[in-house]
Amino acid sequence: MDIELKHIDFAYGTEGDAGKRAAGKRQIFADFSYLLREGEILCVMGASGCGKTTLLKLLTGQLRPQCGLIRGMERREISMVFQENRLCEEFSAETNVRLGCGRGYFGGSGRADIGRHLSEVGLCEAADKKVCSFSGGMKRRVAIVRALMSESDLLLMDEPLKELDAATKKAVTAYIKKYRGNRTTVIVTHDAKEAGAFGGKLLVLDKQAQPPKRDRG
Amino acid sequence: MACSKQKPYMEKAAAVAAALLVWQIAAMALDQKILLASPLEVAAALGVVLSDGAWLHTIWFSLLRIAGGFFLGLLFGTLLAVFAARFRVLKVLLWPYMAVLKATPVVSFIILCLVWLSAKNLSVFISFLMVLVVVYTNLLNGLCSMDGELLEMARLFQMRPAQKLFAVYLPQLRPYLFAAFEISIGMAFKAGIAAEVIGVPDGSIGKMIYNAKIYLATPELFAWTAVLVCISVLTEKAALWVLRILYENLEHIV
Repeated sequence: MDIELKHIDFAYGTEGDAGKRAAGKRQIFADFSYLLREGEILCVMGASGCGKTTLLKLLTGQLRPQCGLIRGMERREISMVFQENRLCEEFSAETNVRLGCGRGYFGGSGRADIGRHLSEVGLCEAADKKVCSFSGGMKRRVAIVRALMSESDLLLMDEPLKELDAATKKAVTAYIKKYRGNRTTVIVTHDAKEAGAFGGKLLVLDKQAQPPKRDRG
Repeated sequence: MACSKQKPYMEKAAAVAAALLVWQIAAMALDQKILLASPLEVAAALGVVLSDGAWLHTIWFSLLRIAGGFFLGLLFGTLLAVFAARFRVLKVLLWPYMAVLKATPVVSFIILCLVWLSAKNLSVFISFLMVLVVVYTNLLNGLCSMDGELLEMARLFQMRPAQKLFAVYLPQLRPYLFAAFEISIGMAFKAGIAAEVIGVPDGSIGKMIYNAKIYLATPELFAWTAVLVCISVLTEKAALWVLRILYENLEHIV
């Protein structure tokens, strides 16, 4: 099922976002519309504060638009790489991945495959170590494996390659492309080269995002 | 100033030895057994207390009731904190009760409760009240400062309730739970024994302390106090050890 965002208005500091009301109103989306086809990859780019992460939060339901509607999100199972890793720091990499797979393992691969997936992103030795002892890049890779292995039909990734060196970026990009399957995928990035490596469509958001400025098929 | 963490047990033992020495010197200087019994006199009185077979029964009587009050306080404090964190109206409605419990001297409650309850079970209720307020306050603070981002992650990945409890809630509540245990166990003993000293139920540590005071048996009073301090410290250590073991095995439970 396609996901359709129709005439979305969203501003921080309004009724829909009580938490940031005190900071004053900041318009992010005004009459924003976009159609995301089932199974495609969409790379979202734009300057800081233009609404890339906000777009993901609207898709997950963490934020609600003040106007407009989002279709095609009913009964969707979402897995996500958050901007911050959001891992259970006192648990091992393996347990973190297992916890993300409570509703099942994507592609039918079971719990036994967690070690293999972690090896593919260079975490073979660290699988049973506590995440709190990991570097930023290692934590990032655990978060990516968790999202990829989790049974879902929508994959959201907020700057998945941040904190990774060039060689690891290449390996992790290949890993993501290999295991995303046919899931609809939205990837937020600052880097045009990264977006190019993932392929798929490109959506560049402006500040106070209007309808997309550029759309590459 | 940097705090040394080397050999804490040796340091503590040295501090205890120094305190005993100061106490012995002060008792010798005062030379009034009724006013201040020396450590040696207290040790002798302790020997007399322990040579009587009833001491275990006395400790068991008080420990059972104080532990009962502690567990009841832990249970109800946790439940109230969970519901108060979930429903703001409950938090507001409970505020006056908790404020009164925090501010009122424990002796006022003891005297008031003696009108309603038998002296035998008074220490259960008084310990319960003291633990309830500490557990409720600590856990509510912990629950109100939970990391919303981790909760959002748990929601998105559809973690089961038990997984959320063991992987998200309990790790974040760790400092609040430890603080609640450390504070409330000592308070339960203090308040429970105070209730026994005022209610004077037969066969309790409180009655032994009361009798020692009546008969001006200061060494015996100190001896029972020493017994009480030992039980309180050992109970606190045991409870914290159990809690630590639980936390070390959270990953296996989840």
